[in-house]
Order: sequence, then C-alpha cells, then structure tokens
Amino acid sequence: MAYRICRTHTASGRLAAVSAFLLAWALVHSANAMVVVERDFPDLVERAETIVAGTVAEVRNAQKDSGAPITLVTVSDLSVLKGGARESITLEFYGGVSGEYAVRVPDMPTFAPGERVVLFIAGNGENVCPLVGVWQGSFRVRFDEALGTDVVTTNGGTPIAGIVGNKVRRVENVGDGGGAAAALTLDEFRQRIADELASPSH
Amino acid sequence: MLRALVGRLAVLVILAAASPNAGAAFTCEVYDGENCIRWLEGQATVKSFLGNPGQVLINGTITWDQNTFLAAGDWNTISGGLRYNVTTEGELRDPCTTPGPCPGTGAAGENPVIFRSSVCGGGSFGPDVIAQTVSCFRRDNGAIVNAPVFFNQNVGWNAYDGNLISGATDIRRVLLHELGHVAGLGHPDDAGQNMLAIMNRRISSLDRPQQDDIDGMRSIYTGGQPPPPVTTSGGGGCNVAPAQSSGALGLALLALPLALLGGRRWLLGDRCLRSGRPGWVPLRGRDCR
Repeated sequence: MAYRICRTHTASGRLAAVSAFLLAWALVHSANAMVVVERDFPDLVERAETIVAGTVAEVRNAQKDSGAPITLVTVSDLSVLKGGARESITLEFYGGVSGEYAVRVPDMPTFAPGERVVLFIAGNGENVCPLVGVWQGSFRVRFDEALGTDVVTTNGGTPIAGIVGNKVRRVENVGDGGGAAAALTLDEFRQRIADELASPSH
Repeated sequence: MLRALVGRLAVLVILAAASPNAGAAFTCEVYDGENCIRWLEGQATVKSFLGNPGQVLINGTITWDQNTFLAAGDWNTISGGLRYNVTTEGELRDPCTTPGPCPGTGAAGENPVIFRSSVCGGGSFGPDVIAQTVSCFRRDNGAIVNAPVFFNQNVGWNAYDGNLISGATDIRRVLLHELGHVAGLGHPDDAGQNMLAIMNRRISSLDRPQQDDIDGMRSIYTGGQPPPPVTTSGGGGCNVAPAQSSGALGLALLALPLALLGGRRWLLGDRCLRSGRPGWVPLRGRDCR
C-alpha cells in the first residue's frame, strides 16, 4: 500500500510543518547517555594506547584459558598513528563460534578480511573489547569514487562529516549515496589525530 | 522559483531532523546473515539476582529486581509472541562456571541478570561498558540458548523515569534495553539510522519501548511464526524492513507537512521511502553495517 500526498499551499500547512520540525528537533536533541560510555574525539585519542590504520588480514575463533570464546582479529599493513611501530597487531574480542553454537555480544564490532580500518586500541587482552568506547573506537575506510580518495566511515558504515566541537559527526541520511561529498577523507582524519596528539583538547 | 527552492531546502532540513519518529528501522541479531535469532518457544526465563540497593530508589522501588519485573512487564505488554518469566527464586548458578552449550554463558534456558566487574573470563568491562548481554544461539537455526545479562557493579546505579540524571544511571531503562537484546533485538542506530527507540545504543530520556521497538519485537515474534522475510532494496545495498501499518501511518503524518511546505509529491511505499536526494531508506539487518 502506498500513500500519495498532493501539493497544496496553506498557511496552516506551513504552521504544522514548522511545529513538526520543532517537535522533532527537540526529540532528536534530548540528553544522551550510553550503555557504553560516550567518548568524544579527544577521549578516543587520549585513551587509546595505540592508534593504527591498516587492513584486516585474518579473523579467527579461539578460546581463552578460561574457556570463553573470543575472536582474534589480525590487522596488518599498519600505519601506526600512536604507539610503538609494528607490522601487525592481533586484537582479542569477546564472543565467537564454539562448535554448533555462537556467542555474540550485540555491541561488539565485527570485521572481515580485506576491510580497511582505523582503530583506537586500549586494554587488548584485558577488556571484553580492545577498542576505546567499543564501536566508537572503530572506523572503516573505503574508496569514494566521486571524490577519488579514501574516506572514513563509522563502524556502522556511515560517512563522517567531520569533527565538530570534539564530536565525531556522521553524514546523515545518505541512503542513496547523497552526502558523500561531505565525507571526511582518510588523510584529513589522520591529520586530525596528529593535531590532537600534538595539542590535546582536554 | 526561489519559493520552491526554499520550500525544498526546508523539507530536507525537516526530513533530517524528523526522521527519528518515522519508518520501521529495527534491527535484530542475525544467525545466517539474514534471519533473526529468537526464542523458539516464545518465552524466556529471566533470573534476576541484582539484589538490594540498601535504599529506596528514586522511582520508589526498594530492590533492583523490582525493576527487572517492571522492564520485563513493559515488553510482555506489547510483544505478543514472546513472554518473559522473571523470577528471583532459586539458586543463582554462575553463568561463568556452570557448564552449558556455550562456554561462559551458563546453562541452557537460564538468563541470569547479575552485577559483575567482568564478563565470564572474557575480560573486564573496562572503563566504557556499563552493561552487557551475551547471547548464545544455535548457528543452524538461530535458536537462542541463553543470554545472561551483566551489569557493571562499579557504575552509580539508581532507578527513575524521565530525563537522565547526571551521576545516576537508570537501571530500569538499561534493563529494558538489555532485555531487548535477550529477545534478539539489535540497535537501530547501528547503521546511521536516526530513530526513536529504547534499543538505540545511545540511551536517552526515553524510558519505555517506542513504536520501532514494538515493531521489531513483533517482527521477530509473530505468534511463534518465523519473522517475515527480509527483502532487498536497490538503495545502499541494505535490507529493508517490512512495513508495519502503524509505521506507514506515521510516515504519512510526517510527510503531510513536508508535502505542504515543499510543494512536491511524496510517495510513501511500504518497503522503502524515497524522497529524492538525499534518499531516505528505513534499514534493517547487519548487511547495512
């Protein structure tokens, strides 16, 4: 079933539209907290023990000594933006496959070989998730054909518009690719990280 | 010309701001890349062993477990096909040490809700995680085996309705959120969607299930039947949620002022809302990641 709403012009219509806008705006901008603590961009940079850009080389299931299922994600072809130089790093995420069964944590980022990422790493092997702010410390990189360069997206794949007021701002409503032109490039993102390391905001 | 341009710009602004309240965008945890994990029997037993805070909480409850009953009751009222049976009776069998199909989640069918400082040998919460549900399910059919819920004992918890209070995390709405995960629901804002939902990973002043949460729960648990098949839209390579009648009505109500202001025709389909550029597509599924 489809609804078609046809064109009219009335003052009351505009009033209704403005009212709807104000109501929606108020709802969108209600106070936020998180089941995972919210981390802004300076938090991510400051709290990360290591920041890397690289390519996921391997994803495999394993178990800790306790028997807990884990997923080991090896990232190689590294460009280390914070921390000691290395060629690859293997990260330990809680959850994985155990025979006929799987253990999954809803918030936990998942990766596939070949994906390009920028990761803010802390507590690897100690915490259930080795990323600062769980998904907040995971960014994806993809080539944008329109821009002809690599752009950075959130862990969920939404392009990032930029770092505004210390917050990582997503490009909203990009269902059909609109807004890609506003996406933050990988080079710009790396520069923002370098700037934050050189002159911390907090 | 100018009038039309201004009108359409305004429409885009409104669309961006108002999209949280329209369209079905719920997500679920999937086991085969497409279909949701679920409790095949249509019920789940939750063993609440959160205990006593030693004070009257802001919402008047005197135990943490009372809030588990309240949160489960919210879902039971609206979900239809899934019923939570909450108990505080019996022995707490530690999910970390009790043998079960999945190591570190405990016995099949047991879903303890407990305070902890770590998640079953998988590591500590770290400084960022305040609560965590761990789901164990069969890989071949998505049948949930158990889903213990761990609350970080180092968080300053309380219980209250309404706006968030600095320094006091409302356990009731976090319970509501985590019990949504126990049912198999995911985060609708995972893929950049902007919905009003208790299942958003950003907990807000919302303290009860929203229409999108209800639609999601009913999609998974439609009277014990398998969830409706996921269809693929042409936009963004994303799966699109089947429309709910209430969602379509919401879309129509939203689009009315937009149409009046923008002066263009809006087509609100029951699979995917397209409104020119930027397109606006309700999303569903991990394929959207």
